[in-house]
Amino acid sequence: MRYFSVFCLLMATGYLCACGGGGSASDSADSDNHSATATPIDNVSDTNPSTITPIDTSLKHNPFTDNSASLQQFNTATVQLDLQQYSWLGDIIVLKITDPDNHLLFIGQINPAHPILLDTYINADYDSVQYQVYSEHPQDTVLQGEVSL
Amino acid sequence: MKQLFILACLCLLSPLGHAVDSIRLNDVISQGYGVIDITEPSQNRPNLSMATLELYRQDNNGALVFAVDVNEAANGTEKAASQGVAVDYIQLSITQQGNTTTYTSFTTETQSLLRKAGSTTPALYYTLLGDSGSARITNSSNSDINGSSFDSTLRIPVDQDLSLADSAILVIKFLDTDNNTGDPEAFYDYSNGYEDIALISAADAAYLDELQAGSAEAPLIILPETDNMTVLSNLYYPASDRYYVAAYEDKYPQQGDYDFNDVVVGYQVRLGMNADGDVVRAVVKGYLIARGADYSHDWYFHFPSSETLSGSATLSLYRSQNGSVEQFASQTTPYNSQSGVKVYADTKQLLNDPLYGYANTLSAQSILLGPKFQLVIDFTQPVTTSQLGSAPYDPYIFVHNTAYEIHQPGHAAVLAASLNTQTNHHHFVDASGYPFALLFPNEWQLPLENTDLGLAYPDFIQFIQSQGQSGQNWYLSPQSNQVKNIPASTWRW
Repeated sequence: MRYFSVFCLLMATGYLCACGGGGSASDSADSDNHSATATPIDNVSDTNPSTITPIDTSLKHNPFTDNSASLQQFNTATVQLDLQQYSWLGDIIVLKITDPDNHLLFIGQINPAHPILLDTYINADYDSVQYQVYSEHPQDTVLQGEVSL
Repeated sequence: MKQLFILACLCLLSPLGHAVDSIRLNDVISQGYGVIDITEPSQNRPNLSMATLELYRQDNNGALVFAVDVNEAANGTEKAASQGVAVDYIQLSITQQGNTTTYTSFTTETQSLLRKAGSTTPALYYTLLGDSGSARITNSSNSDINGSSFDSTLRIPVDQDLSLADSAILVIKFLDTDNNTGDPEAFYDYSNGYEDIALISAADAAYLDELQAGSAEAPLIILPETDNMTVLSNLYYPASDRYYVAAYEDKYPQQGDYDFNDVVVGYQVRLGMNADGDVVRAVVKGYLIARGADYSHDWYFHFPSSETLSGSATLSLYRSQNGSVEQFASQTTPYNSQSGVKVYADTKQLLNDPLYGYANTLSAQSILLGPKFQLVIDFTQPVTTSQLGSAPYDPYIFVHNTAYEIHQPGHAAVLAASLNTQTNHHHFVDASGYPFALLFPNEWQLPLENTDLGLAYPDFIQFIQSQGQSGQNWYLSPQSNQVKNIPASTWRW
């Protein structure tokens, strides 16, 4: 259907140009070169769904028969941390992961001796997640970072 | 035997053997602060004598124990089912013959690691957890806890005989948490109140401690003792206060009308992990938001695991009845990792507007609140996150009228009795390249009946055509006259 729409648009463009009435000097020059009967080849190859005006924005009139439709509203953001390089004075080590709007994705006690590998699945309009690692000991530094998608 | 009987009678008659009844106090905690005269009951009842106060202390093995009715507004992830405050400090002042002894040591059943407002350093604080509106049922009908909504206990060891004291005043201050950091601080703030407080018996203290009101969904509870089946952390999909909205076209394998409102379910997944980062419990909860179909369906939640996982699955269903919550079904079964759990059976029966047949998809109809569910899967052994498959997992429907399953693309049919399995229909994309099931953020509002999703959201096509690179906020700009305005704050009742 999409390609049929493109085809119709090209045919209509050619028809209207060929049947055009009076115009400017440049129009005449085009007419002399018979260029009005067809859209330039370059334009044909550049024509894609984003540069044409579809009938409407409905899914019904905008098929994706080549399976190119991307409808993913969420993306996976993987947080991978190796905390073994840090020495912790506290006994309670907490990891907190949030999205850019501060929604909580993960919270809880972790074992810093184990590598951390966590998949989050967040809105497609987010481009990162933030993390913090902290303990109950006042001398432990709060580790903060960001994972970009 | 006779001697034993007499001894038992003496014990019952003696002051030390007398079981005290919990009593609500007149003073309350307001805006996170309370000065409580613990001899003054509520409802103009006579003051407690110091001798009676001593009975409470003895009943609790040398401590005064209080119950607090946590009463917080929704903030952070706080909700009716789970609310919390943290205790900054307490001072119990016992005055006897002009001398005052102040007790500041106390415990509650739970702790959390929190930042106090103005401080960047987290510290451990005792917390009080609770829920809203539940009527407690205790052994004693004379107890003020019975029929109340008291939640958590606070225990203060007192090492002196109170019967000789002149006064007993409790000062309690909740922690002013750093709300800017979100949860867990936002959860444990005090934002509402007031909080009632009661002086309670050992029996009621044991009852409330066993109840653990509000603890299942409270973030970052620090536990003193753990094993490999203890949940120490939670991973939320999509987030602790957000939901995925799964929307289906039910004509499969025939092309639908693209209104994606035949069945609409909001759901959230929480994976409870042990110290090793393995999953011991999964909690899935959600709501049936709309049903714009002549067909009826079952809605399933399924972890698309390639392995057989064993455990138990407890499914609870609730409905909203005139502002109150009623549980109308609860069942525990072995977890079926092959096909998952049938959460909503027969959507047409569960959500039906008798005037229209459809529910929440027509502009003229009033909004019906669909049933809420909670599914708790306790695995027999810890499992890795990869063993569960990938988020958002596999929420799917079985259509009664066609006997087809409908999944998101990439998932295979799983029910042996479905036509998909019998006829090898596992490709859940139509001839135009569109799936029969889509997942949206919870801000998305469903299109009205027979309204094409692309017409309800004109920017959606741009998002698709750009392979998701532009127009990512398309779902925030609906044509207002082409969608059913049911905000998440409404369907998440």
